[in-house]
Amino acid sequence: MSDAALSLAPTDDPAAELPAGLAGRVDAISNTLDEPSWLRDWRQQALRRAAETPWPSLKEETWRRTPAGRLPRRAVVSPPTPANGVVPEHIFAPHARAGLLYHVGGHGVDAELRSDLAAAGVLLAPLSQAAREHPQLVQRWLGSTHAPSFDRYGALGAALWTQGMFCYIPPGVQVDHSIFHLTSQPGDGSDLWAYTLIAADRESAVSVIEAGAGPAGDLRDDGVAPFVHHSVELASEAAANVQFAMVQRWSHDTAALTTAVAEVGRDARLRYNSVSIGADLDKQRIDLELDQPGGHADLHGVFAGRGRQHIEHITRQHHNGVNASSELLVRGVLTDESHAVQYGVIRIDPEGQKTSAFQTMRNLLLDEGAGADPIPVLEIEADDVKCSHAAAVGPVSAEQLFYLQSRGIPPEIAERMVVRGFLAEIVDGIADEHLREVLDVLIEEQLQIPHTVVSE
Amino acid sequence: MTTAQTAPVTPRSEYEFGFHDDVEALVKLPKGLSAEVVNTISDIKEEPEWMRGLRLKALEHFNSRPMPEWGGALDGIDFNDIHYYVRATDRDESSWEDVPEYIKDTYDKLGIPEAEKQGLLAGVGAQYDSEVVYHNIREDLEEKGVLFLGTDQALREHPELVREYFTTVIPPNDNKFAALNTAVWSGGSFIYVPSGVEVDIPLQAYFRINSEDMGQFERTLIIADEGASVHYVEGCTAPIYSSDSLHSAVVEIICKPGSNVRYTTIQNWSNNVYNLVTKRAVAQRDAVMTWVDGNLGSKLTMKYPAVYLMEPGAHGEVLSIASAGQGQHQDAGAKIVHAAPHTTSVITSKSLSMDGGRSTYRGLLKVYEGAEHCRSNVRCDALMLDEHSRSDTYPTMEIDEKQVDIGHEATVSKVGEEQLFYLMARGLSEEEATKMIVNGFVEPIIKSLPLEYAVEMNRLIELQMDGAIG
Repeated sequence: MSDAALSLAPTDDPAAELPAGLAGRVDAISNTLDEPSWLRDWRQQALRRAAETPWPSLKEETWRRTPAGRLPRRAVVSPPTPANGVVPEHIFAPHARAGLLYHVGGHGVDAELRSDLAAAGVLLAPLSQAAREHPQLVQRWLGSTHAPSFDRYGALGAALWTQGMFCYIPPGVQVDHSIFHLTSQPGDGSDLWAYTLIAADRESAVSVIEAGAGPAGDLRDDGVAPFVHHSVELASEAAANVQFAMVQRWSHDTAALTTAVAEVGRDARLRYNSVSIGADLDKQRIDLELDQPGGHADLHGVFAGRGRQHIEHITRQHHNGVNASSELLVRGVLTDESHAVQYGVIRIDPEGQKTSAFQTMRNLLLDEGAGADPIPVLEIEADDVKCSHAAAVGPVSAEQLFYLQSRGIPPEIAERMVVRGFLAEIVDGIADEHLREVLDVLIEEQLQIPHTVVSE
Repeated sequence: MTTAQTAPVTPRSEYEFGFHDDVEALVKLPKGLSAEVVNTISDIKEEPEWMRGLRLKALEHFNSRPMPEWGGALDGIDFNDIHYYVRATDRDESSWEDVPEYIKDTYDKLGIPEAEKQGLLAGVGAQYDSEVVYHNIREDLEEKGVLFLGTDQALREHPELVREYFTTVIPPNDNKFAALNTAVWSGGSFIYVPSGVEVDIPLQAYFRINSEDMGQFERTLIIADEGASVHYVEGCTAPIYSSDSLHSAVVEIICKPGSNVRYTTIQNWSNNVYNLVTKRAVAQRDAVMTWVDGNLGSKLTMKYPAVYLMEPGAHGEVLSIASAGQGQHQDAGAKIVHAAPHTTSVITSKSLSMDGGRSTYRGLLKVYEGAEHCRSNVRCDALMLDEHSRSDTYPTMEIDEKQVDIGHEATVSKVGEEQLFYLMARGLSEEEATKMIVNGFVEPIIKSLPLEYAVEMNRLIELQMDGAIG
């Protein structure tokens, strides 16, 4: 097994080679998941790309603030084993839903889809199964974004995934309730590689909620961080409407990396909600590609940090189509010695005329040891655009607390109200009512609110 | 809404200060950089040994450091194709009449020292290529103990004062170009304002590169003692030669408790100068440091004036204006470090991109843990005048303290259709209307300049816009 032990921490030697045994691992994964040969070849191709791509340099802007030492240096990549995973807790189990795909540990999979949607041609299946049963559809979309070639991690993510999901919405079909996709960390603390592929054909509408779950607490006791990599490809065709939410609550010792790319079609609307609760290191890289006229994308991030958590949002709003718009909103609360980084780029190519693109990053610090580095970057080569960004870091406003207390509200409840109000802009914008309620509970648990009360 | 029509681009007006004097320099070291060159410079200046040692040490730092890979394109710089020292006159004159005729001519063309003649200035210094050629200061200030000298002269006359502060703000190994400056520095201004003395009107310096393939490496050191106040203004020009020149200055400022220092730069180098400058101030208790930084010329400018707020009550401010036209990249910004509680800072940046130019705001705002109750506000606005140009904003914030109030905002826009329509409906041409809008855009910074500089700045921006916009 040791021949496939993989260091996932970028080293001083960015060209450090991948272990030779990985190719055999990839075949074993593909065989276990009973995949068609074209998909195995696709994985091997991704692995070759990973081998040719060096690790990102820790001097790059998108890495220099990352405590890369917290990424595991000895990850054992193994084929999926029978279900032995952490069963997601009830709070992830939704009431009304259009469909559910549920991975437990290795390849224990449960899937359901409302019959009327299945009859309308909606597909919801593990990615390997979809590749067997609907090869043309999967081939049309798999790798249609640059997620599999994002960097070495993105390429490894395409080669090594075990918990895969494919969701396809045919033209004109509007899915009225949310589809849920639950992934879970293997109970033995081995790594998780997940792959999400969602394709919304023209004039369709869909809401997908992903939840990643680990145990509340640490998963391993040997000091090695369990690793999670999540690849996400979102493709939307003309006039499609895609709502996507990713709620991450990995175990407290996990190092998690997300590589997500959303392609926004002509006049399409897309909303990406990212919720970070768990993990020790959570680094989310999310690219919005707006190369068609009239598209609109929202990227809303919300996080709650505690302990020594490090939470990063590395985002890119790339405009090279006319008349498109995008908005990044990140709001987070940090306690203890947690730290957040937001490095967000708005990139407008010369073709991206009449773009409107905005960024807002706000960090609320509840403890002395907490910190945040919000970095909103603009790179603009078209003149007929509207762009702005704003970033802020600060404590709970003493005035707000005073105001609430002067009306008879006890300090701890006042603090809760201020934190809730701070996050409301994002939480209240989530369409799914159940998810909103779940988030309120998760965030309060995470921050142990009422927290230390700020007094001036 | 319709897009404003872009008028055909007419050739840019000639660079106004693009004359050069055909004079044989008195001393011109051969091109290239070596310990020998550094030693020769030190010999010519008859420097104390410690300065020679510092220069040689800095040369090692320079040689061992890689070129920065961020910011602008630096591959056009050939360090072996530069004269590191050029001297046109023998003496640093203190009477304008004594300055050699051809240098006087040059400065007369630039309108210097017109301001001094009119009594608008407390003192004037002028640097021509590597050496300071003229320094003068009002008598009453001299009597109060204010020093305003060329840095070389200061090293000769006040060696212990120079040694006490030199490289204390910007160490020789701070960055590659600061190391280069430390190795080959020549000229620059040295200012010392004693405790409690307020210099009520600006001290002024002009820098001019007259020789081809010339590197100018002036070194400026300003010390404002407790409760002192001073405003220093510098302007820079160069004639146009076909090959590129390098300007790499280092400016160190020490603001002692309760002092107030304002440093204003109007940089109008010709479009073949690489302008790579390190400017940094430390502000002690209750001191106020303000950088006013105007970047209009040069091929590439990389300059981020910094204020380190070291003690409670210190305030730092950077007002930055950059205008990038054809073939220009202005990579400018600000750096503020809050290293003590109860410190405050403001960064205001306005940038213009036109005619294919690129302007970049690059900033760092750092708050250390324990620097409680800091307040900072950063505001960057960019205006794009055509579709060939580029505007970037890279504002970095690193906040390790909770009890702070930090805000950042930036906008990028083009000249508003409605504003243009409104002005044109009142009979202004599109060009006049655009100039008026641009003037309004940069006004918050212009109005913080001394009057004659405000006028000059507006004129320079208009000059750059001529033909660049429809």
